[in-house]
Amino acid sequence: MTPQPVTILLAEDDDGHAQLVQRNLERAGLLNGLLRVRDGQELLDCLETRGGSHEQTLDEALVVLLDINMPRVDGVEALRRIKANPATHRIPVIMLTTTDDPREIDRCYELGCNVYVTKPVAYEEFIDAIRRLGLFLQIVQRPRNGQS
Amino acid sequence: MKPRRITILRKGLLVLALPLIYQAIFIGVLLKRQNDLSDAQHWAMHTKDVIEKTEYVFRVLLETQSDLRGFVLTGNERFPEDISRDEKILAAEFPALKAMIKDNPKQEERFQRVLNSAQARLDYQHKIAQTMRTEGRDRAQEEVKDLKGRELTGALRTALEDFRVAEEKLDAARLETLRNSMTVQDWLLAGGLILNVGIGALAAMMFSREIASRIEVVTQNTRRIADGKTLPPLVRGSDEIRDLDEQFHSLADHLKGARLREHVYQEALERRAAELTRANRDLEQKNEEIEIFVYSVSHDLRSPLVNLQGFGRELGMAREELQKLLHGKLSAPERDRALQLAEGEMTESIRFIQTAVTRLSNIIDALLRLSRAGRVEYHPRMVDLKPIIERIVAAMRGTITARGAEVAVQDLPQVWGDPTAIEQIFANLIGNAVNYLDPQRSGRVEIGSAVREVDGMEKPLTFFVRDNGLGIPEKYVSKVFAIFQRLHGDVATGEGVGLALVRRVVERHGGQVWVESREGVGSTFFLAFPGDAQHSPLPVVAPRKERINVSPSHP
Repeated sequence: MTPQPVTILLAEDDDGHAQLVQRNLERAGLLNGLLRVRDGQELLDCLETRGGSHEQTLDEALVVLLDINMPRVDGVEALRRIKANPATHRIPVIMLTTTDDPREIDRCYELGCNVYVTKPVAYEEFIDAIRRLGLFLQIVQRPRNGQS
Repeated sequence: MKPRRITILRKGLLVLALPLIYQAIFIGVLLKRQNDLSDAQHWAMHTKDVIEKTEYVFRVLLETQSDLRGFVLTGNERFPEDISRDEKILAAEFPALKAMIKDNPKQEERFQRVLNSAQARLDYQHKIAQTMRTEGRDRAQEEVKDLKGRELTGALRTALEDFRVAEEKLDAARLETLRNSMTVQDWLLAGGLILNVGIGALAAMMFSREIASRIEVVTQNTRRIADGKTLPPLVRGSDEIRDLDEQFHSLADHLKGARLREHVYQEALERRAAELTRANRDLEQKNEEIEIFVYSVSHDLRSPLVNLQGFGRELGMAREELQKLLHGKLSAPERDRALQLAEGEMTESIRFIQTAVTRLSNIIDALLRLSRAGRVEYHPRMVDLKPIIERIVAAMRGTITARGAEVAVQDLPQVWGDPTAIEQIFANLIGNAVNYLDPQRSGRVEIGSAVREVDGMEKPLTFFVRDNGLGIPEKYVSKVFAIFQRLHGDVATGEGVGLALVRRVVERHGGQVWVESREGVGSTFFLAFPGDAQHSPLPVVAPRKERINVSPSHP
């Protein structure tokens, strides 16, 4: 069974971080399908226009990489809304943020995030985290319709 | 000289003695009257005795007269015997009667006349008896028939009658006296009784006035002391009750002092408790702020650090690759790659690094500003806001014009505070208002002061900065004053420290800052300051020439 190509939706307000994530995901072999938005609102809008409210869109494999500190709608709120919406709640969400506050991590897991990755300041660790994320994303199987 | 003390004992004795003395006098008077009465009775009896005796004597005398007649008529010797027996009786009765009336000279005189008449009559009878014996019955009978006997009897009768009438008059007078005496005694008894009741009532009144009512006052005073009320003036007098009241008054003064001290302590305690509560609340708030601060710092400092590290490393990698390429002979694609590295990736990395460094530097500057805002020494005075706000608006003129906005400034009251800090506050709020205007409509920023007196209550000085800008979504309203919270990160640049700084400065002035906002309509930031120096927590320090200059921050 060949893994389905996934589209990665990256919500990140910091251009530099977005660039680093993108470069290293490319290095890790995930060369296509990265879409970047600048805040939570944009992410939700994007999911909406992609037909997140309709079942048919779930054909397309989708993973969300979500930063927490963003203007307008922040990552935690975006996570809450994704998981509260029946049309989008099955989309895997990976929190990717600089914060390692345990309360924040707990909160995200409570809201239903699938993975929580702290952006390490040390570059090697950061790259490593992204690489492992890339490997992880390669094997992500989007559940098919009616298969949950 | 010390006035003689009238003690309760003396008063009590007086109250008791008054009726007793009266009663003693009354009984004395009564006894005297009784005595007089019995005297009067005695004398009335005496008069009756005298009259009785007089009548008896007269009867005996008349008997001697009829015995004499009998003797003259019959010659029977029984009659002279009777006469001599009667004469003996008379001889005994006359002195007795005389003794009985010895107290009354007039009666004595009259009685003497009676005596004389009786003696004359007796002598006459003796003479007839003598004649009877010596000259015979006929001669005696003649003598009896003589008028002389009748005369003598008439004289005796007259004298006796005279005496008797006088004595009866005396009897009537004495009876009258006796009746009067008895009436007087009746009145005396009745009057005495009424007087006795009156004096009893008087004594009771005296007791009530002098003792009972004053004791009642003192008793009430003890209640007043218990209730913590003020005592009336001391009771009059100089007795033990007065002493007692004086003691109670001094006790009340002591208690008042103690209560006052207690009140002072209580107030101090309450004030201290309130201070502690406030301090505690402040500490809790500060603690929360610090937590948010640490969280924000860790996040916001990390973010550029990730970029620094990341792009530094990217730069290194690109440099290595470039170096490798440049070491060999460059083929065309290799040359293209080298150019791409230098112009593309490396340039980009350098740009990100520069941005990150600038951001870090800005964050650190902002942190320093905030830290300084908490420590800088203030020089409070009455500050005129008009020139300050004009200066701020003038400095922002460029931005305001660029946005096509209008800034209206009302007349503003003076405020007690540090001029530089006040300028910092308004610069931040006006800056925010201008920066976050809605580009869709013509912007308007208004600066004014709100009503100071509400429902007769003196409210603190309240200012506002109102805009018709983007507004704040409801869920962010509570967060806007926290550090590093940036809502419209895309609209204007900044570190999210401006409002945190404003709050810090306002709170140091003993004031409050809050916001009312509706997304898409606009925001109004309110500032409440203590009205004057008395209510301000800022210490009054002498103004100095040298000032620590805190540059106003613009978010």
